[in-house]
Amino acid sequence: MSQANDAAGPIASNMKPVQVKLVLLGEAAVGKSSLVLRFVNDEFQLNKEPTIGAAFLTQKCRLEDKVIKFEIWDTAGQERFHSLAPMYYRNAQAAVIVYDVTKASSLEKAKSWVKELQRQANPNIVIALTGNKVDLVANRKNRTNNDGETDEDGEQDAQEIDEDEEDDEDYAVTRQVPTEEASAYAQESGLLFFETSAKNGQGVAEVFTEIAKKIPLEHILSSSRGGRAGGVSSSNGRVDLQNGANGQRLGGQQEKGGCAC
Amino acid sequence: MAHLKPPHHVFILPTPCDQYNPLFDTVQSTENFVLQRTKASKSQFLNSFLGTIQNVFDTKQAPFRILFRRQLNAQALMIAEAETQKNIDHAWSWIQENFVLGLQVLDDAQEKEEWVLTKIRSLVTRADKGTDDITSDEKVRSASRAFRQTFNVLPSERLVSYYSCSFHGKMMNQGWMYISENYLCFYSFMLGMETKIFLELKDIGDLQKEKSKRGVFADAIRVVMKDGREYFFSNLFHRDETYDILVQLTTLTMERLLRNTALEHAPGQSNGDDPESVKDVFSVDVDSLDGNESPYSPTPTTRPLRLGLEEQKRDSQFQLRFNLPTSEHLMEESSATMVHGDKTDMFHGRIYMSESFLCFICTEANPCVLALPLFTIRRVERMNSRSAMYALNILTWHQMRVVFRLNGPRTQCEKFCSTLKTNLKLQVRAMRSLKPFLATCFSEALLADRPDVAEKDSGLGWIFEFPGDPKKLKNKSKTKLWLQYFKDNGRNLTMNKAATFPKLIRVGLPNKLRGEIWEACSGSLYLRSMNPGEYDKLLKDNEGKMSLSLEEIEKDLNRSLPEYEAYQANQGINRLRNVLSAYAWKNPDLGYCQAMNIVTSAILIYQSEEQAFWTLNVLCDRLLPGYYSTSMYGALLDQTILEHLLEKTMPVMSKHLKKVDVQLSVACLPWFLSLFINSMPLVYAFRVLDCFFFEGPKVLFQISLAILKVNGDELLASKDDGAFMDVLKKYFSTLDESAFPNSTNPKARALTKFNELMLVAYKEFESVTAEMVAELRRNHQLKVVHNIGSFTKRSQLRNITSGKFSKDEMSVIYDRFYSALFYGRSQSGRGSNKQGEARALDANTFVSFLGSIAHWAQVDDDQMEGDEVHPIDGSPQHRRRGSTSTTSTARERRRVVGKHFISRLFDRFDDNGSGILSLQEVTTGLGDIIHGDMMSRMQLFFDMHDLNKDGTLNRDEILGMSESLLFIYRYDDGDTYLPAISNFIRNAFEFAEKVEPEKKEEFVVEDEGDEDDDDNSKQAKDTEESKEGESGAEGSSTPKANSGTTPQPQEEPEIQMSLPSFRMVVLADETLERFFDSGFSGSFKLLEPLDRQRGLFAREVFDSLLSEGRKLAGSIAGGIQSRGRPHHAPTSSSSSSLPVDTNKSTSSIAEKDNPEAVVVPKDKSTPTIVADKSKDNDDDEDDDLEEVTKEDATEDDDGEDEDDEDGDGDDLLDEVEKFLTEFDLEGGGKKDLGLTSAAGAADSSSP
Repeated sequence: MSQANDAAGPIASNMKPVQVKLVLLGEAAVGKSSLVLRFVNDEFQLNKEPTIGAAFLTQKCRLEDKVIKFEIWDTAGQERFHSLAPMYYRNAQAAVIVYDVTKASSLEKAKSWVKELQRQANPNIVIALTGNKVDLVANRKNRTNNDGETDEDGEQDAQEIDEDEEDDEDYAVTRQVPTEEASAYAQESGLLFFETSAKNGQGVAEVFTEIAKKIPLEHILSSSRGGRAGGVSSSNGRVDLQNGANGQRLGGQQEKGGCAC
Repeated sequence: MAHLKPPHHVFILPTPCDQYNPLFDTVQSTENFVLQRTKASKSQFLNSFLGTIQNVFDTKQAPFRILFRRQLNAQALMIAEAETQKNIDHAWSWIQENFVLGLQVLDDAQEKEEWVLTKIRSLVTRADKGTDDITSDEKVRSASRAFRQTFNVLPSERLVSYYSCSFHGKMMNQGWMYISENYLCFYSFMLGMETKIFLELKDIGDLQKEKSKRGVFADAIRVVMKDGREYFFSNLFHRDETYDILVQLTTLTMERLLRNTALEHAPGQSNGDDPESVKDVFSVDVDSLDGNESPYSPTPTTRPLRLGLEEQKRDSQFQLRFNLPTSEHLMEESSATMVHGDKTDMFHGRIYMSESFLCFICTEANPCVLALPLFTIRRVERMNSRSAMYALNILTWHQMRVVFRLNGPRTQCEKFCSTLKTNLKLQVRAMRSLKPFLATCFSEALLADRPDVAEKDSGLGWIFEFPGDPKKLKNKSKTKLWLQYFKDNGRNLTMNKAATFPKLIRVGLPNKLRGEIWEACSGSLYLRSMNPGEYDKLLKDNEGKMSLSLEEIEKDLNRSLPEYEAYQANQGINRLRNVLSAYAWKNPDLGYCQAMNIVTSAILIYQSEEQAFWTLNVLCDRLLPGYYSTSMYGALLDQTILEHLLEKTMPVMSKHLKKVDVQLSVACLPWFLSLFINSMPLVYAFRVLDCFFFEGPKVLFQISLAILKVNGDELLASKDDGAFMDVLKKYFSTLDESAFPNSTNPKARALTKFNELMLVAYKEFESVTAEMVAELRRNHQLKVVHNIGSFTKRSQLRNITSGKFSKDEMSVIYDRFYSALFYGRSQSGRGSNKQGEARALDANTFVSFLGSIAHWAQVDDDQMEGDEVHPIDGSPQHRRRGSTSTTSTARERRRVVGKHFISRLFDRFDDNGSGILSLQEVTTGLGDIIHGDMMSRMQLFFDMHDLNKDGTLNRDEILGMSESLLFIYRYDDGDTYLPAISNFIRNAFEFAEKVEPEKKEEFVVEDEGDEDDDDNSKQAKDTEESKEGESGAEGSSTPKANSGTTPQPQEEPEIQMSLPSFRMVVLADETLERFFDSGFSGSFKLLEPLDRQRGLFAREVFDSLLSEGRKLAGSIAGGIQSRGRPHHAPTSSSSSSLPVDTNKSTSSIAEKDNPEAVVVPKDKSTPTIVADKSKDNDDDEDDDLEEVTKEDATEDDDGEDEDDEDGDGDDLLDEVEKFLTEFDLEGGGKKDLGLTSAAGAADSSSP
């Protein structure tokens, strides 16, 4: 049923991983790909290939006693790719919507994505709002740079040209999205909320772990792989039966879940 | 003689016709002119019979026409035609006025004719600039007129073609299909039954060729609209032609539609630029099809649009076949035989010539293609050799000899030769740039035997090495093969693509030649050679500017082919930045799309910046049209096609994908967008590119299908898109492995998976041809565009705060909004396309938007009519008195009122004062009106008419308000509004001026207008009183009249009405109350269809009735007033007299500052009053009114005496009665008029 053929390591070799389709959305250059890369390979890559349409990656994650295999669709952020997005968030059980804490407009775009998902996507979708690039504002050296253009380049380079302390000094920028504001919005819209840095890894794993916790895994397990189409909600008939089965199989230890990567 | 304006839209370009036509009767005739009308217009029976005949055999003819008798020739010339007697009469009197004298002076018949014709022509061409009325083809001209009148479309709409055909509705209707720029229409008139179909091209979702008569005759077309409605037309004699035209037009329409609803707008446009200064690159300028160079050129005629379209189509096929720039147009063609070089082989095929190319294509088994730029021709000799009369012996720049023998009639050959001569001369200047250009071609260096000299301007590969192992790629031997090929077939610009060419391409190109051969294959070589310096100029001109696209490019520079060394250094990054930015500047509508960076970075390894820039141009514009556009419709379209092809070629796979719910494009879209460059290892991706540049996009389909085929088993085992992606990822990473590792045959073992892939692609999917792809693109594009449209709509609506509008209502608002933009653009788009307004309504488009949801807002119709309709009593001296005002001025005035009203509404909606309205602003504005309460609507009206913003309405503003109300009400069938509005004025003045709550001077109405009222009091009374006074007004008012008001005609009384008193006044009148309560908000029809056109004819008829009625009513009114004996007045006339009075008062008031204003209320109200009489006698109100009238009349005696007529009561009664019966008759018929034929309508209009 599931394609556990890529080495899952020693983890839970005795159980089938639960597949979770997760989609990353957000304005261009907020660090979606970097976030995934940090999560999947725990690295921050110099000059990563750009995302055309969408990139597909998988990562397994251990949660309590379950193994979750995230199928991650990392979408292109450029506005014109927007019309392709439904292709990727179709049937997704989770979405990470990323914005850039140093760029107020990116939160606006994020909000519009939230709206779109809430209306257009799987009704049970778990959405996480993630403010990326906190490293840029964390150790700011008060060299506020309000000029939009330079700003832009600054972030960009800071993201892409490795962790270089000297650069940091130059590219430190002001935070444009206060944590409280985004957090309040997330709460009001029923979203998970995180702030992350793909560059130093801060908060990245939590995003995925929390999503994993919140996802109604039993439903996913129960609905047959092929029938994911209708989304989790469509196959209620079978849910109860298999729910029980899952419960038996997975129930028990309640250790704190953690990402296996 | 006072100037009667020449009636436009009646005169036509003189068209020969028979003076004695059995279908026409002569009505009037003079020495030189004849006025005729159809017999059809006389009897209903004949009418329907003749109508049918005319419908079946010809396009509809207008029922009235004026002919010019030629003295030299038995045939007459038709110079005017019209649908109504009124129009033709006007034209007739104009002719009499303007021509008769002039003609008397001239003696010579020839001179007379010329004089008349010149005058008519100039009249027509001036009025109808750019329309079909001045097209040189008279058939198109008349068909276009018939079309425009039948369907009531704007005069600027141009007919493309029309065909006889049948429409399958409830029954078969034989009739005519009209195809115009924006519409597909059908009209039939069979024995009294009229069928009209009016379809917008932009809403067509699919076009299918069909067979009719149980599938026997291939003569039908099915049109499916995007909302699912279907129309079936058969009996099309030129079915394929019709289909092609429709496809071509819908394609153009789709392109406009895409631009219209694009998500982003011109991202490549500089941030600082004035939006209007950027020209629209995509737009297909319809004007350019006309062959009409300057907009001011006095060219009297335009070519029929259809010829232009056909030419455009032929040109684009020609350009496509030879990969020529779009600036080339096919000028000559002939069948020919080519002998190339020193060989003796003969190639039979066709030769073509455009402005700067001579092209030959061999159609036989031994294919060859040659596109020779004229500036590479050193010498042309005409050989009169034995076998052929015309043989052209051409010596190319590269000393290659090519002989073309023209096989065609002598004249054709001569024409060909002389065109060639002319074109060659024009190319002499271009030859100068040839030498420097060739220095940039590596093939020259190679042949000069210095292949190792790095050209100064070449690809990054020269510096940073080419990807792959040159030995493994057999680089040397491949280069040798090409060297030989160049020697045999010419090189770069003069290269002949002979039979071996495809083979050399498919084995892979040698590194150093790759860039140049890509250029030669794609045609970018021509672009570069013909536009020297443009690339540098683009960069220089835009230096330092910023745009959204530039920002986006900057973000991606570091991420383009990062594994290639050059892109880890500034050298590579800079080149990439330059090329991408230059393209974004060149095509700001497209700007920059991710994936372009990948493709460009790959190309730059083999090509110089300039080369890459032009290759990118060809790529985005021709090879991958719409791929990188803001909607990416091209990419989506090709994905649809891929799915279609998969279903056709691998049904099992296709079914499997559907079963496990995997969307093919999830995997394949990136292949197409980045041309496999980030899917396959680079070495192989370049092999794909080699084929792609030579064979075009079909290769992408072939290879994609082959990939799916080769991995078929594993893919069939995959159950979700994740697994699917894994299979493919793994496959791509093992392309260099042996395809048959276990084979015993060493040759088979040596075959890599990539070799296998290419074999499968070419062998098994041979059937996928360029033509097939083109055809599929045509067939699927409408659906894709509509999908994008509905997606855009959804996502836009999501972000609109819709207030209380339901989803459906919002959908309608959205559609109407963009419809207004769409057509607004197409009109203003002739010449100037304003980019900045792409997604917002300006004042003009707002008018048409409003007109599409509210009938009263259809001002443009009035305008059209206004131009067309002129008073019957043509000569000016007839309309002396204000009371018999002319319809046209009234109309004009009404239109002005309407425009003002709408423009104030526009300002109201325009929250941020930007001068344009976004969808959100429109939604909010409409929401306030429709969902607001009565008070808010009253406030709205109050504010809108409070022009000086002092919080009160003065007299002019009150009048303005009443005019607005009249304007809004003008289409209302009922007539209660007239007394309501007159009440309004009266009460408004009363409450505005009275200080004391005396309840008397309602009849101020009469006088306050021009005379009375020096006491300018602020709004006087408190609500109750006022109300009381109000309602009591009509009934009781009698006694007080004179007290407060002293007639002082000279003085302008200052009056001010505040919002509360305005409310009061409104609430006092039931009709007005209803209007503000529900009437006005209800006038916006979002969900129910708007009865848009009552038909031009119906309205014309109605208007002519009105003008008749007006005269009568005027005299009646005068009579009543001057009579001043209330008890004499019969009920029927009394109810009418009130409005007349009011009317007078308003008009006289208005008269002071604007003489034109007189006209308005008069014209407007009078005829309707008449209707009032005939219908509404029993209204309770009438009784009250009656009394008031008496008052008024009495008052009148005191106050004014301007009406000269002293009517005798009895005579008057008779007249009224007579008129009433007449009106009733015709008025009753009026509602049906929209349905009866034009002829029928005209019939009833003639007295």
